[in-house]
Amino acid sequence: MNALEYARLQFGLTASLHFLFVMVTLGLVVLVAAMQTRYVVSGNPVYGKMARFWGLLYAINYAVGIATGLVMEFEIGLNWAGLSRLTGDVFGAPLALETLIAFVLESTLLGMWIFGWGRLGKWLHLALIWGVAATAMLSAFWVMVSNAFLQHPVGYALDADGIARLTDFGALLSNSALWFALLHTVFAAMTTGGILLAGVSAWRLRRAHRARRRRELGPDDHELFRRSLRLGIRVGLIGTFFTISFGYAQFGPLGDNQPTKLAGGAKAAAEQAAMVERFGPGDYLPSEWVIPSLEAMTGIANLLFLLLFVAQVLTFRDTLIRRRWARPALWMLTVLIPVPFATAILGWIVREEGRQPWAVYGLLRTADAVSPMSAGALRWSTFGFTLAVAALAIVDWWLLARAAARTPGGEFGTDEETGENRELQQEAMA
Amino acid sequence: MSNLWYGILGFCLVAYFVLGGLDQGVAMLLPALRGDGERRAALNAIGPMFLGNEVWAVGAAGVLVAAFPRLDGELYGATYPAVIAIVLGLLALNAGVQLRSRGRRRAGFDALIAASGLALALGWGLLLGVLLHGVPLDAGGHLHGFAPLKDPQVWFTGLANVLLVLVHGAAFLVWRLDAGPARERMRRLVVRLGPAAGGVAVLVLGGWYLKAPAGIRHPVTGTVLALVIALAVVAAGLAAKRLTATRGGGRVFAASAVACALPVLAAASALFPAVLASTMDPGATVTVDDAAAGGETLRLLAIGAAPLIAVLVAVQAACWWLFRATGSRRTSLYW
Ligand code: HDD
Ligand code: HEM
Ligand code: HEM
Repeated sequence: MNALEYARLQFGLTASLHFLFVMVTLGLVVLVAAMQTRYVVSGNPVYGKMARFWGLLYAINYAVGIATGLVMEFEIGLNWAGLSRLTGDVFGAPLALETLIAFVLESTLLGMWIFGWGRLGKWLHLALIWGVAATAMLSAFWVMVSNAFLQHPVGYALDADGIARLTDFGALLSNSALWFALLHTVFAAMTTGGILLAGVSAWRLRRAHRARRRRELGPDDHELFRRSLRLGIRVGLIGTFFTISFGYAQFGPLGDNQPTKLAGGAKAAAEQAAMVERFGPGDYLPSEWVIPSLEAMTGIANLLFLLLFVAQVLTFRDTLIRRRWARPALWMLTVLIPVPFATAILGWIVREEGRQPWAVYGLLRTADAVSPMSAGALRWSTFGFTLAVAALAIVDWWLLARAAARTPGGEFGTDEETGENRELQQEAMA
Repeated sequence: MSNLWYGILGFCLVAYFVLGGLDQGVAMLLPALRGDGERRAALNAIGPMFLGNEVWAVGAAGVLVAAFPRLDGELYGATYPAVIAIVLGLLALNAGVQLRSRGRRRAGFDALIAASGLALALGWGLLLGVLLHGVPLDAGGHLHGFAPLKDPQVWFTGLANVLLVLVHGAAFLVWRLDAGPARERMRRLVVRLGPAAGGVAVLVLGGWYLKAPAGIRHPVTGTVLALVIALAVVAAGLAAKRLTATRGGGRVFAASAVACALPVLAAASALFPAVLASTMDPGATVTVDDAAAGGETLRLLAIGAAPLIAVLVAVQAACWWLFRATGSRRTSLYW
């Protein structure tokens, strides 16, 4: 393999692994914020317990995920120097806005939220988790702005040295490759969060039924998972619906922006000829992986919608939990947990692989974007970074599984029962 | 405009050297703390701020990518081994600190945390050393090897940063820990290490004088700042000496914070307006203006990002204030 192939492989692998974390972050944060809101507004302690239980999963995933984002950022600087040199003015600005606004702020707020349980006022503490949610969304927004520029460059002019200079920021924000893709991604993450919630809850409830005599779940915890299950199924179903809608909506702008991406047969040959005429000789068609990935994504999406619809119907009077014949549906929900993750990776393969051979469509070839590095150096960094990020992903899932299996209560140093800060209570008693 | 953004980049880096230095210092000191209780108390002392401290590194990298797109490639390239050490150190430190209480092998995690703290403090110090030394950059923008990293003077600079960071971490613990053997040990460490770090800082300064790299354009400013570093860290040691065994430590910490803040400024102002000085061809030297993005991009960033830096500073200040109560953090919080 040559240097370019290693750099692409490296980016694809690390970005895909990074995205696994992102899906959990974006999907869970809104759910946790919603739970905490119900807790603060209604005062019902089961929602407080719920917010803390799922909040711990969220926090673990975030903590392990940060490092994967760092790897991405350094990778762009190290391996894709051409991209920074020629289009960095336009492509780098939104990425930096992301880092600055979104997660620098987001991490700070999250740290305060984690340590603020039972120590800060309830409303202030609630505002913190909504701040985290808002900054996470903003993070996704800016990173998609810069990705949309790669897909469909707008709002720039080339200067005398052939460097792209930003001329129209508004055009970046109204990029036709941006909004449908952003909404599609955000709803895909909501689907993921919903299915994660439902799948874990279904697993806990199923285990409790099998081991009822061993008091696997107390009545409170049963209630916690029952409500989580219902919430998860509902959010998953709504999420899938909008994911699919915005998925189909993408085809419109896509055909105009990137005629070569999904072209097949005679159309592909015509597009290839047109590109050769515009840009000189070369192969302008993406690999044959794109179309099958798209078909798999749409196929899985429709199946997911169907299955979640059935599950939603079965939540009527908690049939899902109460009736023995409906039990397999609980099992199915647990099995579904990895599916949205895999589907999203397929989606990214369509978007990123389908953009080839361009790094910035019609403007900068991937071959010109890569840093002038030796294949040897890139082989080792590909190996090292992929291994490190994959290890983090495995550690993450192992920790998430352990956190999901524990008895709810006592997260973030709070008291098992009241949810108040244990340490402050001890101080008050002393 | 480009100077304004250079200033903002500097601000992020100074914030990182002070706040991230805190994390690195405490990380390196873990082996000096006895037993899980003491270590946990130390980690909980940085707990609420930890994420906020670390993000300044990400913020600085973000500003670099956005406002100086023609610098990050060369900078990372010239210091590749140090940058790799920094990235891996950040990875390990973040994962280690947050996961140690999740696993059963705490001792393994503690070793990892301490090693990553050391890698970070050394890596950032080396980075500054390489900048002062200058890099083998030709007029075509290509780099020729890692010669600066073979220069002992660069390694002395790295070592000086490690010492500063150690004093800083210990000073923080003196300030935040409850009275007890751990705090007392940290206090004695500051007393002993403070003057030593000051001495090394002066030696490093002298070394750069003897070497006199061509890239250094403002030796006087750099010297003054370096002397202030030495004085501040010695002052931290002296202040710690006069401290009672039970309370206080804010001044010690303030002095060590000043010492950790200045290396970035000292290096940058000695070189200004150059950023990457070429050792091969003075014409290939990259200045702030060469590296900066176009005017429109910088204006956009100024409107979009600069006010948010103020918000960020406010939120972080609120964080320190909300969690200002010191001591008595024995709980098995998240960490
Ligand atoms: C749970 C995940 C999930 C599900 C169920 C779907 N997608 Fe998707 N899809 C993604 C997750 C995703 C993604 C990871 O979020 C992508 C990658 C880039 C992007 O913007 O979204 C994506 C990209 C993506 C693209 C590529 C856009 C481009 O190249 O610019 C198209 C055309 C579609 N999707 C279309 C669909 C359709 C028609 C679906 C349903 C029938 C569908 N997706 C379901
Ligand atoms: C996190 C979700 C993402 C995933 C899973 C993903 C996936 C991929 C994959 C599979 C490749 C390799 C394609 C190939 O064979 O060349 C790739 C390349 C690339 N992607 Fe992404 N991508 C993601 C988001 C982004 C974003 C948001 C950006 C922009 C900021 C981006 C920028 C790039 C670049 C620069 C390359 C390498 C150059 C190229 O091959 O064109 N990616 N990505
Ligand atoms: C491929 C280009 C990308 C780069 C360079 C990148 C960069 C980063 C970095 C540096 C972090 C960690 C920062 C911190 O919290 O300290 C991070 C986290 C995050 N990123 Fe990305 N990212 C990319 C792709 C994406 C995509 C495609 C999305 C969403 C659509 C996304 C959304 C997020 C979110 C929500 C976080 C929060 C923390 C987490 O879940 O791990 N990123 N990213």
